[in-house]
Amino acid sequence: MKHSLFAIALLLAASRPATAQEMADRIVINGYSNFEFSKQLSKDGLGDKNGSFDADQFDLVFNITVSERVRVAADLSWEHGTATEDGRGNQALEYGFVEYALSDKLKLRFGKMFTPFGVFNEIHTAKPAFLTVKEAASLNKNDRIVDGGYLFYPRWGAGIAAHGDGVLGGKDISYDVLVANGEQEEANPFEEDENTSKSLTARVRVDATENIRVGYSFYRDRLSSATFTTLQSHGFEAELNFTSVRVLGEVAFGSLGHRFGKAQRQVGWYIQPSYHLKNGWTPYLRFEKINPDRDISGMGGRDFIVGVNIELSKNFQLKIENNDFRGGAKSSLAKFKGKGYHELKAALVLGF
Amino acid sequence: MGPRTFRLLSWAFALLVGLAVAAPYTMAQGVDRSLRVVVNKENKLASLSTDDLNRIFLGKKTLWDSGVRIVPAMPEEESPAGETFLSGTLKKSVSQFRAYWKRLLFSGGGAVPKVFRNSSQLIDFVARNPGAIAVVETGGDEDRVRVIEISD
Repeated sequence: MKHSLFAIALLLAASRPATAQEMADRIVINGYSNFEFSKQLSKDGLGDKNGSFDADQFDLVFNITVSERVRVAADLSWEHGTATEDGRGNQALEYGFVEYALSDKLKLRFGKMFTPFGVFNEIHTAKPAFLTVKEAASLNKNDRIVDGGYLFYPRWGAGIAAHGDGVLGGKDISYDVLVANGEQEEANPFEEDENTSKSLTARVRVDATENIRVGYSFYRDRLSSATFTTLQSHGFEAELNFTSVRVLGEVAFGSLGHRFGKAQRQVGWYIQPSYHLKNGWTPYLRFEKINPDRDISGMGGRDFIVGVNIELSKNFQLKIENNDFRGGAKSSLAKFKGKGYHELKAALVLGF
Repeated sequence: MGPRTFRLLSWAFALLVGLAVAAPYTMAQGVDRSLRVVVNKENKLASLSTDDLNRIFLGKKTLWDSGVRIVPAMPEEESPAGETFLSGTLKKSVSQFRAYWKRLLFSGGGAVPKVFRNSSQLIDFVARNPGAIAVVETGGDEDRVRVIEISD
């Protein structure tokens, strides 16, 4: 008996490091943090007049291999220095889903996900994943530029998705389809649907060459609102990615159906060229425009960004940029007619 | 957006789509002679195409035909072996490779290939993981793993 216990103890002792190693191989934890500063440079404007530091984001990203075909992905986010006791900041599950891989061409996902529309939405919290301080507002947060617009799609969805990678006509393609509750007026959209209709998002991307990728996204939902009936958007993206020169561009068209009157047709677009220098400096420009109602002239606005992204060390970046906001005669920026306003934005970003 | 800008954007996108359809897709061919691709001894695979090797290290191919999950591993990106693999086979610079993976990782698309300091650590990792595949420098202790051929 004593010998058996000793043998079991030895076995357990021997197996402990192996289990820890196996766990380490199966559970991967990454994350990112973003610390920002913004200051309006013009005398008048809608920017940050005092100049503020923002402990913007601290996220942990989990990749857990449960079995050969099952994976869990989650992003836990603490935003603006979360302190729940004081009701400050925001704590969120940005996404948390289970993926069951039938094959590389068909992976089913269940849970809360970023809506797979265009380039920026799925990475809009992950600042290390793009060059600029903020994502393209024209497509993802147009109220940063003008009033009167709407989101082309809700940023998150709870539902069932399919993702796949494959080869078609000798070219690598990928697709995403998400069926979700859609945006809600009252209910928690990640828990309950206020109407019988589900939202549908679809995206397809083609790697045309080693350096060029193009894509198309679609979103449609019937809304439960007393004012609006449907939201439908189309998005087109293109990315040219050469060793030094990179150009990213997107355009999205939206149509928000009203119960009484015409649908509000919105368009947003941007183009973002950049040049990657060998010393880790990447100067960039982004010109973006949003017109919240194509049937009314002068409602639109734009942001012209000139900036530089400096890689201080591996995955640690400093971003500095000037945002030049200007708007049409009927936009929220009209009061700064002809001059707009300038705002400095800077960020220290770490991906780990 | 005026009708002129709209037309211009439409044409620009149509041009890119045209390029996408017409352009021949030429991925990298082969692996530099200074490198070997190794898999776990349980893996019966004899060879792998360069395109599939690329897809594995870009997170597009994640399952072996047997259904076992693929776990890619490689030398540190900025080491000579890492850079040789990235630029020679994946046709990506270190910054392009990192940018690509940051987007995929942080959007929930999968885990970044594991990175090790030397071939001995890479071989240890492959030897204990049935689904692992790694790029290692030629001349290491390859007895505990299987070297596979990379075909064009």
